[in-house]
Amino acid sequence: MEFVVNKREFVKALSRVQSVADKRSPMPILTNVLIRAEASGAVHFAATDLLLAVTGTMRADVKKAGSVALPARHIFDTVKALPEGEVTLTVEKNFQARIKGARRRFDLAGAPGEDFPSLPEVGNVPMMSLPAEDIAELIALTSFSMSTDDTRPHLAAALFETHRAMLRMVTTDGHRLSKAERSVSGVQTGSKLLIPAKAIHELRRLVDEARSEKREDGSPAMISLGAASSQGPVFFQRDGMTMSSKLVDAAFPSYEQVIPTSTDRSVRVSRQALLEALRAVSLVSADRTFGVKLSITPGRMVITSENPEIGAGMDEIDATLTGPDVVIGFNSKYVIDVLSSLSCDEVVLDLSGELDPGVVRPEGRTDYIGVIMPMRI
Amino acid sequence: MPPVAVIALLAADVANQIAAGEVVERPASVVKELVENALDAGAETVTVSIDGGGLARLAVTDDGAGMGPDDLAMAVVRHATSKIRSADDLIGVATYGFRGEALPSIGSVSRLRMVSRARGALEGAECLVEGGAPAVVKAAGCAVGTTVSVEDLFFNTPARRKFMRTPPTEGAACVETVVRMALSRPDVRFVIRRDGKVVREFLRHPDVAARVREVWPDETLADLRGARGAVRVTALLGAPERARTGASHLALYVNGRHVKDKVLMRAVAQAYGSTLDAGRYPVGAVFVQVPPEEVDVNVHPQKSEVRFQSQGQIFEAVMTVIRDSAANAPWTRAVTRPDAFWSERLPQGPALEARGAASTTADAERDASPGAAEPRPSPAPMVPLPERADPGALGVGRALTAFVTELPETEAPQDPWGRLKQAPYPPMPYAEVSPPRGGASRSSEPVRDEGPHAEAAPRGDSGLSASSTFSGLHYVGQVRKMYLVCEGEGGVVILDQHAAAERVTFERLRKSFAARSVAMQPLLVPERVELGADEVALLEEHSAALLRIGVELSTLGPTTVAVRAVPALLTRADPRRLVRDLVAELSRQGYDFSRAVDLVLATMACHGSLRGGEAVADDEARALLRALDTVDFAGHCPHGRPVVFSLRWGELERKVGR
Ligand SMILES: Nc1ncnc2c1ncn2[C@@H]1O[C@H](COP(=O)(O)OP(=O)(O)OP(=O)(O)O)[C@@H](O)[C@H]1O
Ligand SMILES: [Mg+2]
Repeated sequence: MEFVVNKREFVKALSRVQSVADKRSPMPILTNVLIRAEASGAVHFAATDLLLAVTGTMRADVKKAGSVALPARHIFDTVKALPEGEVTLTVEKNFQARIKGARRRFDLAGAPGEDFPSLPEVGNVPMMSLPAEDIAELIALTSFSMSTDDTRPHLAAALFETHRAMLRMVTTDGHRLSKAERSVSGVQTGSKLLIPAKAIHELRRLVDEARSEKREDGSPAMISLGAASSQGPVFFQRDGMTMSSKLVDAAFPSYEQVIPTSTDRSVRVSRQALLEALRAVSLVSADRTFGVKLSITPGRMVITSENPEIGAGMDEIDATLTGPDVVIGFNSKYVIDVLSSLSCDEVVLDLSGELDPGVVRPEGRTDYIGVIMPMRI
Repeated sequence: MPPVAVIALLAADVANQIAAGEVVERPASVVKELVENALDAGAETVTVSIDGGGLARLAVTDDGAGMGPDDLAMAVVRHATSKIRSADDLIGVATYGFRGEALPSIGSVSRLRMVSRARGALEGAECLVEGGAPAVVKAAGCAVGTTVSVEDLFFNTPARRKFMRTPPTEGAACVETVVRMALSRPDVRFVIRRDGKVVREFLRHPDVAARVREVWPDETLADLRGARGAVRVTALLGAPERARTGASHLALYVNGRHVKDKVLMRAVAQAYGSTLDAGRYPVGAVFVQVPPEEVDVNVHPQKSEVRFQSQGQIFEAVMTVIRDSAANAPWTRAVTRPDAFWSERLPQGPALEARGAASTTADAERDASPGAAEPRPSPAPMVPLPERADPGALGVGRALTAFVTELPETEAPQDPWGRLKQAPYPPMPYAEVSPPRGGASRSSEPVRDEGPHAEAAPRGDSGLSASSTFSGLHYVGQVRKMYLVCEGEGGVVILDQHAAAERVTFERLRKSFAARSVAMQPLLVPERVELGADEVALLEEHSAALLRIGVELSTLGPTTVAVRAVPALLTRADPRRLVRDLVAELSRQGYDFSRAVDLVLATMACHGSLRGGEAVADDEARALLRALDTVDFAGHCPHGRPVVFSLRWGELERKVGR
């Protein structure tokens, strides 16, 4: 196998896949990046940790087709360390790879490309095209309430739902829930995919890359999405790159049931004011439970926090209350997460009793809600 | 005057009562004997009814061979059995019963009534025994088969009756007993009624796998089978991440007989290797078939133990069959972490493994004293700690030196383990809750490296300046996502992040518990947890106490609870795992909650804390160091493992040959 390509192209292609390679895998082949050159001039890259796989393609001057698996970390570092300009990759017998740029060169020991696990292929999976911007927003609005506990895969995941012209993402860690929606064209079929958290983080990178690339015609960056079946895998594509992920084989909680349909009272406050007050007051309890108490009366909201080992803090902000007074406790982190993911001026808190779930939503909009279970302080 | 005979045969009823003490411990043991008899009689359907926890009434109905009037009368005579005729028959005994002890024993401590009709007989007969009195037999109408009912168990032995748990707990234990027997008999239909309601029913299946899955419908069980020589193994086991603390959900069978066998337990754990945390065992059942002459079943009054001729061979067979076939288990293909993830979570040291193994036989531990039940893990050599009674050592500006584990000084230490033997382990800090420190007493007045602990330190100067407490350390960074590396005045200090966080969480839990101000985080989505009926009963019994420590549960069914709230300090915890570990801890502690509370809190702390393998932000690490200063015995996690480890500059320099 042999090809010649510009160093920058090579680095770019490698950087996209090498992060997925599982550098500490007990299966040594997974620490590699697969590089496969076709006589047509296409060079394919792939890396996988068996949960996720990322593949990419670049154009090169292919002298001899073939494939090789090379250690992800080393190939990336060595190509980066070559001088600017043309780079040649040659694979000799025994899968010895030589990477040469100008008069600098590296020799790396590789493995046969055939040893690399076969990766899921898009094939004729129907794909729908969605604006990268919308996906980025949905991720920002919901990913913070995924569980970080991988032993509970159904919560360490995001539910991706499409329905009519609607794309919806829902996450919950069992204490709080976020649901965000965007209406998009191009969605016909209804589907429900439970995507593992790790894939969501990788998707965020893919989406950010797509958004950062200037497009000549000024059209919005798009991401294609499709799933082979409800068992997966799910594919995300942008030009030249495909990411696939297994789906979580577990049931997501039936989230509609935990979203309150009506509440006794609602409070309107400035998002920024509440955010600042919470950040400040919760300092007192930051090393423990992050518990804060909100005492809401017509016209104002008093935020307090106590810690027997440190002391107490309190702040007061203006608030418009409809309904009776209430005192309710929350984990300030949960409220802060929601407030800082939003960008609106005012938020509304829909509350019932001090033990009932509370809802945080942007004033005047219905495309996002955060549901938070109060804390009993 | 003729001499008074001092040695006489015990009156039959006294002998039976003594035997009953061994055979019949609680209602569940009666259930076990009666169901075994039904199975021995060739029943295809066995119905068990449990009323008032089995203390009020228990009945087992079968459609087996039945007994004629004469057999009925014989059945309640001690050592009368139809199953073996001589001692030789004991080898390879194919029936559950062989002693002829069960029915007379039960009859001596209850009101026993048997109604039976032999296959082919025109009418049935009834036999009554009250408190060991001679049997009364008369004709009675009934279907083919036998119904044995036991009322007012222990009515004539009040001392024993006093030892019974609440009816829900006893009843649940009865259900568990039937389930365990049902697991190995897919050819028999079982119906279990509790207080009139059918609580479980198992249908007949051609294969044991279907039965096991019927028992644990929520688990994904791998079907692992194989043979090594004459030993055949069939195992249906769950995924490592679903494993429970203790082996109460791992049912083991030798030639169809349920046993509690440590060798087999260890073989299963070993087959899972590093994917299993120490002390955890997978959910499921393992059936081992060995040639009958290889195993002695007559070693335990309740037949729950067996003795193998060649233990090693059985261990090897069970271990390798499970290990080798588990590669294709459904859960290995599921979305799970790679091996490295699990191996990193494995606590080091053989002692800890031993603790896991030792703590699995709940019965053995319940008998042992609380101190003995908690063998201390013995890790690296350790600096002796000050006595609890020495206030100076623990008060103001506690020197870090008192809490660190140090590297042995030389390349080939003379006798590092011998030194360890002399070093007292830190007392488990469960004695009392220390009041929160006031601001003034927390000033970090430098304390000279003097006093008892300095003297006791193995080699002269300690690695760290006496005045440095944890917050005085300079945090350098995290390594392997497991350890926090810091620079102190005297050397490098390494903290086990999980153990350290666990220690802090534990202390906070205890303080808020003592202050009766446990903040709770109710769950938005309550978690369902499937448990054994006995475990659900145990949790119900302790629900008020659990609420006080911040865990709110509600019972959804005989084997299901919902977790409604967890302590707010433990928002990281997986509620299911938390509840399962709490149950395990409670049942190990002999149900005495006040004694168990610290161990329960320690279990909870373990869950709520930062784990090994998690990335730690710099400020999070510094907060942890600061928090350690507020904790007594910060040098050890609540389970006694060391938190800190130091490498002194001098030592480091010698190592690099300066
Ligand atoms: N359900 C039953 N159906 C038919 N026969 C029974 C039944 N229960 C007991 N028997 C008869 O009564 C006898 C005595 O029962 P018992 O349980 O006391 O002793 P065992 O089963 O022989 O031995 P072990 O004490 O080990 O259980 C049995 O050997 C059997 O013949
Ligand atoms: Mg018997």
